[in-house]
Amino acid sequence: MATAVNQSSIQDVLETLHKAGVRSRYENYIGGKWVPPTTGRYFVSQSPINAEPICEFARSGPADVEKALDAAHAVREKWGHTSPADRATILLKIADVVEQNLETLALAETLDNGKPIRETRAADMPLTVDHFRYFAACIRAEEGALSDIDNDTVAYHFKEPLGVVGQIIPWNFPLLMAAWKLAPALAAGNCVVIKPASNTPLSLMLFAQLVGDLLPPGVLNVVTGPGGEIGKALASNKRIAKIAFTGETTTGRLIMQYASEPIIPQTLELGGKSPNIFFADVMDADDDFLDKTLEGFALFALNKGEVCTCPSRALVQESIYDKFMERAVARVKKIKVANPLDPTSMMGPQVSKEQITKILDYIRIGREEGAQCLTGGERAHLGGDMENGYFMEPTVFAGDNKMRVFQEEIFGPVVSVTKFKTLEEAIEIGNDTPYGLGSGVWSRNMNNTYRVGREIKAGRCWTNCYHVYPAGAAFGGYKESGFGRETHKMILDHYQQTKNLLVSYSTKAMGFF
Amino acid sequence: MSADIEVTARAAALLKELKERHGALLFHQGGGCCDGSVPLCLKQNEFRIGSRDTLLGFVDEDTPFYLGSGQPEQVAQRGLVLDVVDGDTDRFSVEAADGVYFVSRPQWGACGKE
Repeated sequence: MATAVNQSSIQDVLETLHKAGVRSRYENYIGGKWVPPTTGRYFVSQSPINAEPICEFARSGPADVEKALDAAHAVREKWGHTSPADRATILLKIADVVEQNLETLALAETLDNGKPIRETRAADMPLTVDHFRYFAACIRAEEGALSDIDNDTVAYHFKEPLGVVGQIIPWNFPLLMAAWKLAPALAAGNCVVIKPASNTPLSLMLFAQLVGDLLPPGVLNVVTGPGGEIGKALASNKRIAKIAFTGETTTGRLIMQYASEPIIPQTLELGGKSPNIFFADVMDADDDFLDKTLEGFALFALNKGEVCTCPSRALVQESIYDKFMERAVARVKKIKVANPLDPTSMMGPQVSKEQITKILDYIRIGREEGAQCLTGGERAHLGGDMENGYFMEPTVFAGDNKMRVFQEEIFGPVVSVTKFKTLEEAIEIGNDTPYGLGSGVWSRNMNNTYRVGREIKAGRCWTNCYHVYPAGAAFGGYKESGFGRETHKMILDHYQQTKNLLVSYSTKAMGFF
Repeated sequence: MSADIEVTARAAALLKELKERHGALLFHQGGGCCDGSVPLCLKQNEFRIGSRDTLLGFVDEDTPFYLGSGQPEQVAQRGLVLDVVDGDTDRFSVEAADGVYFVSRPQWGACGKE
């Protein structure tokens, strides 16, 4: 009977979404209107829950990117001169509309991406709302600066928008990652051409449908289609003043090369292999803190491990290794893999067939290179029509940091665990990776946590917590994880130019000529 | 380094066709999030190979396969299979516009254990 129930729940959700105004086909959102792609072609997005189609989107070509850029450039000057107060007001209204439609957006995101509904309701959507409010506040409080160069000379520094910026969004947090990029770009007075990932375009198109009218036509333009055509056409376009990209490293390097021709700035966020370090003293008592720590271990399964900061390497101090791992594996075994539309589901399906195939390949690689599988390691079989969905068992490997499963980003619910003896060794293993995005440290001793936090070469070290993403805490990478810092007011500087007026208030000649 | 790169008939045919259309190509497999650890097929004059890239081997007489991160020795030891599957992706790879994409997988069993 599972088939009928599950099928109906997905169908019910689709019906609910259609009643709430979600369309069965989305064209591009350009210049405040829905514009059919010049190609005349559409692609179908499937739900990873059962591999069934849910919506059609424009399969655009480079000419559609040009159209979006035309629309953006037409309004660039006007939008750039809007007062910060007016822009902040619009951002606050966007936040309100997203909040009023939180349930619809959460359902759409879960259906399209497969992330558990409890995550989209409690994290993705509320964080999106808060992000727009945060940048509304930042832009109101933003000030230029002036320097007294000498008694007659003043240097005034004004912050100006860059103009029209390009943004390419990944599929793991389809709306939240868009919000991370859109909110500061719009706050700073830029026009945007944004491309959602082809696996997960629904929430951003719905966002454009809901909030598009709040912005002057042309300020926000959303174009869907294959990255190889329109992503490339956008990133290599001479009419953008900046490109922001989250994704993998080869594409990140390509984008940097494109940007070297018109000489435009980029912000890149390219992944990680984040260490999560557990000191022996976490087991000094069997209390709330240990419970929190064990949850911290299991957080590799958040968003099915499809997170750039997934704590995919766990480093456990040798003296507690056996008893800690017994508790940690037991905790992981309690993770409920189920239809993500079920509010009790803790892990939904991987985003695509391609993704689950890659994860299963890595699990096989891990086994063959001698890593010990402590739990999981297989595709999860949910039966019924969800048998076609891309469900994985959360997987724990024990092994050595030189193994491929410790060094390469799997982007799935797989954690590789190893031991360390001393704080120094923990730092050495933690830093033995080409990446440096996230990291975590757990200890009751603040000297341990501070020292590790400062010595780990990663943009963020979560200390006695993990996977929290509040606006106001800077997020970005060291090393091959990229550069630029998002989710903090400092990202405004990545979306602004500095204009300096150097003014003399003296009537006297310099005396050179 | 010289890894055994087994190219399926379909991958070889596609590569031949792509070379006729685009000229000299290379494969580059990087790491990172989302669509990381997959081979991108790029024009040779479009992507600058750096000192930290490892030449794993050749897919045909003039198409090199580079690894940009990860564990090249271990990848090479196992060998690769280069194949093509159907589907749309967001990759900047030259074949992606045709609704297909290259995939690489290890040569299972090449180390004598399955």
